[in-house]
Amino acid sequence: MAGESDGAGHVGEEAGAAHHVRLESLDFEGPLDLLVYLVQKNEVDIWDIPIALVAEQFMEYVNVMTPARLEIAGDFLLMAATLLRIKSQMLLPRPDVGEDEEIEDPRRELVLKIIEYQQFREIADHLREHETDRRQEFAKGWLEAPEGPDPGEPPEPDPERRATLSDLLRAFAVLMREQARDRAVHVEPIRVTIEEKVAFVRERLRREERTTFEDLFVAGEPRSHWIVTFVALLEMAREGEIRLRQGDSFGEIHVYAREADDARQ
Amino acid sequence: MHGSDESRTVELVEALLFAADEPLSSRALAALLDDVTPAAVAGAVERLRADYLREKRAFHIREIAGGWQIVTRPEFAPWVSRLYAASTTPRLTQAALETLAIVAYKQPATRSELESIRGVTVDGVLRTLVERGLVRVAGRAEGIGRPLLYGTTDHFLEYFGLPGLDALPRPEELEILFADRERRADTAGIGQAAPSGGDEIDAAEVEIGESDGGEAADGEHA
Repeated sequence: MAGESDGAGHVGEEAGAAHHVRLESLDFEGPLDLLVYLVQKNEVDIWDIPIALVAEQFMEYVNVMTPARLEIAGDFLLMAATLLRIKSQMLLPRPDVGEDEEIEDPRRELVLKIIEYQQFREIADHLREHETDRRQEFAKGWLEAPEGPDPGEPPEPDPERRATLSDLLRAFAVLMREQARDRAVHVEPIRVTIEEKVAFVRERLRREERTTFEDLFVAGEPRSHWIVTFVALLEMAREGEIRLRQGDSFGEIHVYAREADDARQ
Repeated sequence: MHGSDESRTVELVEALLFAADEPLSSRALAALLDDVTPAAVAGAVERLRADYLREKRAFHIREIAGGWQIVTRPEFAPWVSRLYAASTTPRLTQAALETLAIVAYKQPATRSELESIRGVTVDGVLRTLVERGLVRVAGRAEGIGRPLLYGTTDHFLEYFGLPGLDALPRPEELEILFADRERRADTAGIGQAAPSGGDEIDAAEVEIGESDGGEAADGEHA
């Protein structure tokens, strides 16, 4: 994790307030939301963003947030890469050009994006005010479907909903983290194929009605094998051969063969 | 029109607005009445409005989605909302509002246009907005994959109590946070940092017209 923010040093990056920003407890809609926050928080000029500082604070947040919000982590990582690219472009010496020639500021495109996003956020705020006002005035028909499902009889919830990709990624990330804890890092060639792992999962599901996601990752196997197992599971789920179900969020994920799952219903 | 006809029209308009469960436009009202022009209907609505105000009625007439609707006055919300406590719809999330804002100004817009501006995927949000009737598929863009185009619905206007799309603020009316964009233009030694013409930042500068009639979206939105 990043330590002290370093706000000084680079040309044009003298941020007034280079203090450490506590981001962990904050929730952001997306990378642009986070950038707007950082620009405001650091009280920097939007047209002269200290990229090194902002990139560092951005990464700090991404590191904290990624495990919890995998569904949007990719968007944040993409932006992090953009920030780092701009940062490196800023460090390159500028070619000597005449007065007339325009040098594109590497930050310009990003800044225009931030401004555009901010405009729409203000419109969103505006809509929120209208929503609030509108909820103070009642008209007939304002309510949707008063004859909807009888509240006395809530629909029977499926005890096990289908696990989503982010559920799987989360569960897998937890497994990998635990495995990393008691193993020294070493690189090994991958000695197992997806087909072998598919066969392994099939075999397990022939013997048992269902298995848990976790059980399919054999203790003691190298990380590379686990990754192949994971890919095999994704592939089988995509093909419809297996179904992945989860009792509740963050709960255990169960793996069923399709036929077994159909019979269960 | 005679005086008695006129007050008769006012009564009829009141009856229709009272019985309707959605905003009625002057054209819709005129179509329901015999030999009354939309202009006369509009006059009648104004009369009603003034009457309600003067008589301090518990409701007033609001212009919504190109029509009129009788609604209770905001000051009674604490009590009226008890009546509907169990069935009010949840407020929209921040993500939904941001996405809606972009759809409203950029329509018809493809999903990737929305994602590019928000910087995040909008799959789930867009589905919710369509389910809630606030956004609709308004056609398909030309080009690879012919992606779906999205636009706002009349229900969008009703939900926010807007008379029309042009009731949304013009981009230049927005109080932009980073207003001092001129200031540092040439101090950082980075050439042209500030936009000269500003043709890139007028993203929200679009024709805010009728949301209807855009079914046949063609070429230009590819």
